Amino acid sequence: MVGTDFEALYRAHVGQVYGLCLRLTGQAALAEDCTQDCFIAAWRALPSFEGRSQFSTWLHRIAVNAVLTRRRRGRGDALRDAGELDGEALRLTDGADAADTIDVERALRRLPPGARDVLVLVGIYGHSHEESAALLGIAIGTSKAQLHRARQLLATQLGMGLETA
Amino acid sequence: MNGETFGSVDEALARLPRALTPARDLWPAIAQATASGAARERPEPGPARWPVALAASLALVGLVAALSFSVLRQPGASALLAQDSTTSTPAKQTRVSFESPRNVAFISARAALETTYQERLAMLAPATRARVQADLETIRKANADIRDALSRDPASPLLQQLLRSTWQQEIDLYTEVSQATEPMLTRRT
Repeated sequence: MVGTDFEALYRAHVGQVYGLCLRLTGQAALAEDCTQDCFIAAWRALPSFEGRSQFSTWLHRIAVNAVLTRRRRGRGDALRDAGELDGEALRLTDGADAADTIDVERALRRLPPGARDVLVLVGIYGHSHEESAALLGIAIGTSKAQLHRARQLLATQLGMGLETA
Repeated sequence: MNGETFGSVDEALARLPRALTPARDLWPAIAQATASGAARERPEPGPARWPVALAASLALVGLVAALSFSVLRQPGASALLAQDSTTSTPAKQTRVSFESPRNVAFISARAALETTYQERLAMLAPATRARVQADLETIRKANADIRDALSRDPASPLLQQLLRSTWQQEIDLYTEVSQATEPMLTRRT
């Protein structure tokens, strides 16, 4: 595969990867670094991709690893000190919807990291608890508990009611 | 505002866009890294290049499903539905495996989903219906382009994956339409 091919792949997936990284890190500059790490790692690992999972799932796994690696290196410590998320950081432009979205994004950002990670992966990006647990290196039960905790905290922050199953 | 604007945490999360756009183009740095040291660390499977049209299709197909899904997931989705629909077939909840697209079970499941999609399409408001149909057409065009590229580079794992991706997006679109129209059926019963 040549660079042109990989650029097409990048263009098709960069939005989701960056969105995932931004929500996991809460900081635009750090999310951009993680996104670049992710695609460079994907380029290196592409020959080993066997197509047993969806490509987006495979790419998400690499993106989460990039975020966790940065966290372990300590570069993610700036998360709490990052500037407020706003429409510019989220690249949202459509008025009222953008304002509501920013409220939710800000509330997400205030969640404890463990709870936020699971909520982002399961609640926003649709991963199963099995996938979330594998991606984050935690037990499936922990993933479920963290999701419950995250939903409760988010509901409190946003003044919402939780839907009961 | 939140209590009125959002029905629940889950609804609020569902409304968040999955894809966000970085403030700067990240590709130049990635291209530089992959063209230098990183590129030498991986084997080069072949010299085949994709036509520009295929690259454009791929870029589009990554976006179209998200556009349709965002339309179908908008708050008050009922407002996006036609008010006088007469369709009443319940959604078929089918899990589809993409391991073997020639598999009879896959073909059967896909046909069932497509049937439900065709039945439910009339329930969407005209503008939403037009968006969904246009996006489906784009996905199918990308599928055709990728198949064409595969005929020239049949061993490309990336092309094979992208082909599977278009199948997945087509199924996802059918499923989204079914799910978006489900509340309307529930209200009627």
